[in-house]
Amino acid sequence: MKIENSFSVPVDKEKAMDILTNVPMIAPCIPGAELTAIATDGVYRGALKMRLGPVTLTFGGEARIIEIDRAAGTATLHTKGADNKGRGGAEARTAFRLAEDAGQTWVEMQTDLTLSGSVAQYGRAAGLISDVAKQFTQQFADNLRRQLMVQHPEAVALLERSSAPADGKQAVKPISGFALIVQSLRAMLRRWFGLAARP
Amino acid sequence: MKPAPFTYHDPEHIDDLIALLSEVDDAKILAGGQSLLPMLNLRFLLPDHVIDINKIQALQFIGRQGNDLMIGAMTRQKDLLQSDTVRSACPVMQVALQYVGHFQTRNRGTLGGSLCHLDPSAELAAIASLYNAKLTLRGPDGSRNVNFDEWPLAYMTPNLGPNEVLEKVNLPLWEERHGHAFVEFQRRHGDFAIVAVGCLLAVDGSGSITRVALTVAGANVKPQRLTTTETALIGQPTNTATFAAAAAEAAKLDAMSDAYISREYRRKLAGALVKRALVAATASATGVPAYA
Amino acid sequence: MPDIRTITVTINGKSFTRRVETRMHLADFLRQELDLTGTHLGCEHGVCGACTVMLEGDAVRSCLLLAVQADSKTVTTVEGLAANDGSLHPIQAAFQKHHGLQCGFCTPGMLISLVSFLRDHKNPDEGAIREAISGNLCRCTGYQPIVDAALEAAAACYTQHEE
Repeated sequence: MKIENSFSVPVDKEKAMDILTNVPMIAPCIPGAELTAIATDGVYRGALKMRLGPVTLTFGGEARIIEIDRAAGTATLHTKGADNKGRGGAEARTAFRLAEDAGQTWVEMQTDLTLSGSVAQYGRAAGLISDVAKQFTQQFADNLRRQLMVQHPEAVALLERSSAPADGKQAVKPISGFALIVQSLRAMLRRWFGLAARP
Repeated sequence: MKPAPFTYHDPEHIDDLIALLSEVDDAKILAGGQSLLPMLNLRFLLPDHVIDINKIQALQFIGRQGNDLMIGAMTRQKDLLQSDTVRSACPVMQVALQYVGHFQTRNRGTLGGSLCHLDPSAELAAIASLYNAKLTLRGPDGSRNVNFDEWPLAYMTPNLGPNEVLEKVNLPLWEERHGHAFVEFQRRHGDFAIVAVGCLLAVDGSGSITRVALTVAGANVKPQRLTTTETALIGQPTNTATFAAAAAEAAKLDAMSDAYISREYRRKLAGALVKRALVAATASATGVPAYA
Repeated sequence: MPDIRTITVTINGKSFTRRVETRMHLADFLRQELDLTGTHLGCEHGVCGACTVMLEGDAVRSCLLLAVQADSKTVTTVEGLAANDGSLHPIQAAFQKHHGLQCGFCTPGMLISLVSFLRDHKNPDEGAIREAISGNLCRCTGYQPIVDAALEAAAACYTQHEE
């Protein structure tokens, strides 16, 4: 499935490119992810913990930047992982496209996400996976934007003004290691325990 | 199917539980077990640790202090149903409990377990929503309180950290004389609610509504207080026209859709049940049967 | 490395000590460890009622309890309803008289649920009995003969077979 996100930062394109192509810099922006090993060939190993309702999934996998074109302002982040309990896997390619506009950089992200195994089953009905994935990539984009600004002190003042979430409500202080995802396993759980259990 | 292997723990004191939660990773707390065990049996969940808190006596209590009804998280649904304190302080909870599972599951199921599991149709979550209950959580850094309107973060995801446990629930009771109602629609008795509505209602001497709380469960991922409808009802007479208008307003609520039940049907049910709940709550408030 | 505990459970008045995996549920413990196969498994997620037993006198789903949770506790299964001399519990006698069973799969759960219910409700009407058995699914009888048996057992002198 394909998801699009975009944002702008008051940071110039070269600096933005430096950060976005640096996996240790952007890995902390992936909700629930942590790097566990840095490889020599540009491949980073890590874990991603995700909570979907009552289920906790831990993916172990790798991330790397491929296809960098500084002139064109494009790069692709490739991540793939498998659930450590054999429930399936996920693979994503996120293509970044940067465009400069009067000192600001506009960042477009196109994520192509593929799920396999029973993890893919969790989302079969009611557009579940797409809702979850959209929320996930939106959080990633928000974190990236914040990271880009934090890396550049001149943008700190702007960061303060713009760091309030769009709906003005912070539900909870961040819980380390977990991504809190809106929208649902509802169809699957209802099928297993709700309407299927009591048809 | 049978549960996948896990390491079992059964702390007897809450401090041991808190310490344990910080030590282990990927744990699920076992309260009544009526929702957790099915998920374990079907291998929907594969936790590394299961922490049984049934031995922590301090989490089982029912008490009233003035207008606060305080209930320990591990209090069994059966005990809530049989409690004279709950009967006089919060009769709507006992009405709702009759829809919760069956008597065999109520012998084990708990209030806290239901609030932490947060099934969209959970009647006890609807009751907590109706009162905007205050939930007390305990963790390694001490206690914190969360009002129920901030408790569900997402589908079946409560505002509970991995090192925390729900300790108790405080329902702020209404001081004024009021009526109550809880109505539910399901295909067979004992099924999960498709939609359920809880209502508290106070009227003045002339029969006008002075205060009302309405909550809808099952229409969306979490119980919803119908704040717009509530506001519109203040000052209105308790008659057919008022109830019909409230039902129409309620039917505009945000509803979810799945393979079995459409959004439109949930909305329709919400409207119909709100009307029934208002009629019943009025009768309960005034002692006079009302027909709408 | 399986997680194992030693538990001691009193079942139908007799004490058993066994080593069990902590993930084993009580129904499997009864059936596999103790050969008490009267307790049946229909759904293993709490809705069908075939696994109903009494734990400390309360009717519960044995498929939704871990065996280790019954440590130091008393359990009553369908095998414990008849008297030591083999004479039937009033509810069993009533089921026999009213044909309250056909295949018998739901019957242990029905009996235990009704024993528990009738102990707490001395004079139930048909509606109350139907409500009480709403958590026990039967595919054979259509429930009427079960209700008839329950009404008769309720009317019979109940105190003779206290658990």
